[in-house]
Amino acid sequence: MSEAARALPGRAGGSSGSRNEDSYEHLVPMLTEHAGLDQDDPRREVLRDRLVEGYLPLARHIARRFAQRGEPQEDLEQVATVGLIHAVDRFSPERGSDFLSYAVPTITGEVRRYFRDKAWSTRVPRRLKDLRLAIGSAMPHLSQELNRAPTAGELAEHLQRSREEVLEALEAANAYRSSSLDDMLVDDPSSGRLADVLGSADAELEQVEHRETVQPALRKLPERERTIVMLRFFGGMTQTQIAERVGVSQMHVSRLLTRTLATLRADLSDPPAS
Amino acid sequence: MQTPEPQQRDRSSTATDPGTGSGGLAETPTPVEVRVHADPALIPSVRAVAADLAARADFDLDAVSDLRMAVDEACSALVPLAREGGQLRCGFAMSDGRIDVICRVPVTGDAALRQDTFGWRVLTTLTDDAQVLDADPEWLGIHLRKQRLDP
Amino acid sequence: MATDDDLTAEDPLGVDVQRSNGASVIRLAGEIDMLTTPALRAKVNEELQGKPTVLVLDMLSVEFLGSSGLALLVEALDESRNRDVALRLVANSRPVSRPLQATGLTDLFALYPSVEAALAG
Repeated sequence: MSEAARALPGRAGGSSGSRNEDSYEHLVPMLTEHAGLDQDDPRREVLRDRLVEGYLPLARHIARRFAQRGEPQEDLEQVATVGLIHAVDRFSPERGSDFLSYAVPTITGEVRRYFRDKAWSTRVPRRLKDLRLAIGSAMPHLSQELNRAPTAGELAEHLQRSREEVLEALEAANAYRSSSLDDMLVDDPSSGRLADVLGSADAELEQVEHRETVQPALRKLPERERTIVMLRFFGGMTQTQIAERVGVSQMHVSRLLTRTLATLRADLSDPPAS
Repeated sequence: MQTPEPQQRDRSSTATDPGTGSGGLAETPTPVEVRVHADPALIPSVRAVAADLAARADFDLDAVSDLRMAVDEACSALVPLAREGGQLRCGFAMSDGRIDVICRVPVTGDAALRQDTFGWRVLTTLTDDAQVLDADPEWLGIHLRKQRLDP
Repeated sequence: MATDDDLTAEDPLGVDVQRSNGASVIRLAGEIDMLTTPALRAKVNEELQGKPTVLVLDMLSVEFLGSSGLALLVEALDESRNRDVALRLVANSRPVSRPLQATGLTDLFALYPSVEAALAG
């Protein structure tokens, strides 16, 4: 199945995938405030956390566009979130563009970079190739029996495979061949502004090149800190909920989060020694 | 030569029918929409989405192939007419055993779709209905409909 | 027979020409559309100008055939008749046979299931 279709509304998990710009409206004043604060101002930290959390659905939405490439969704969301952190850190409202049109290419760039770094291969998995061959040999027989070409469902039944697998195999060649699929943006039109932003982001992609490698930064975190960051950003849990889950006080979670994000940010803003 | 007929027909259709809403052709509401730069290099992706959707809607594989070709043809005809830097938008709607596709690009005043080409003939052969949408002066579109052969 | 590389080709359309004993075989892998047709047209014309007795288009690994590709096939057929070249298509897979069939072009072409069969006539 194509990556694009994977991002269809409904599959995308509605509430987060198809938010419209109103869901982010309340964050805009915070962005301005954040950008205006001195680098050392402790309030910056707090605002930044809230901004990252607030825009998290955007990062998840983008991560889902890269699903179906054999990378765990969790990892993709993690990378997308780091992209979001960059975007929050670097955004300056006086440049005149709105945050979404800055964040979307930044986050997308981060995820692309991740694939590049992983040297992700465009190879079609063996099992899909085998299934394509099986489909090829089943077609004449089934077509004769039905007096028309079979549907994906009929093929699945005949080959005793899931319909999803058959659909995936049917699209494999196209989806994997078209490197341009990366550049395609599927969205729910009802999401309005976000769709526009996603649709016009590509030109800006070129300008966004990060030197930092993201994964190691998160990987370097101690187990517990990493868990807390994950729960906070990917699980959408509150500090209190995390505290209950991890078995520490909410104050402790708060301190850990602040410290962890500071480490993370320091890690990310220092170019790796090369 | 150009008549507003297709759009008028769409407006009178049911709610599930992808017609042109009050926002004009650009904002035609459909459940799924693909937006890409109007660049020939991106057409393969758009036709892949069309095929994927039709296969999911249990169209037989010949019909899937037909729709892939028809969408390819529609996009190939529209993209060269698109305004500089414009977006190709393709909306898809599935209902009652049929799939409706509306592809459109933003255009400048005098762009027109030729219907005397081999490509247009192929397009009409492969679909159950194909209409040029040219009532909106800012946008030019093609509405395709493919019916599912039910067993 | 398709190899691993066929499905992972970077180019949308791979074109490979082999000539022997007065026959030319153009092996195609990938998608024939508006984007890839111009280069293919140049290749086909080049082969036709060499006046082989037989020109085989091996389309077994073609994944998509759009109307510009169909138009090219029709042109090539005309040109091959002018030049007294026997144009033969190797195509038995759906991505090629369905477009030919749906547009009523199947009967115009000499179709073969394999390159060997096409060369043998």
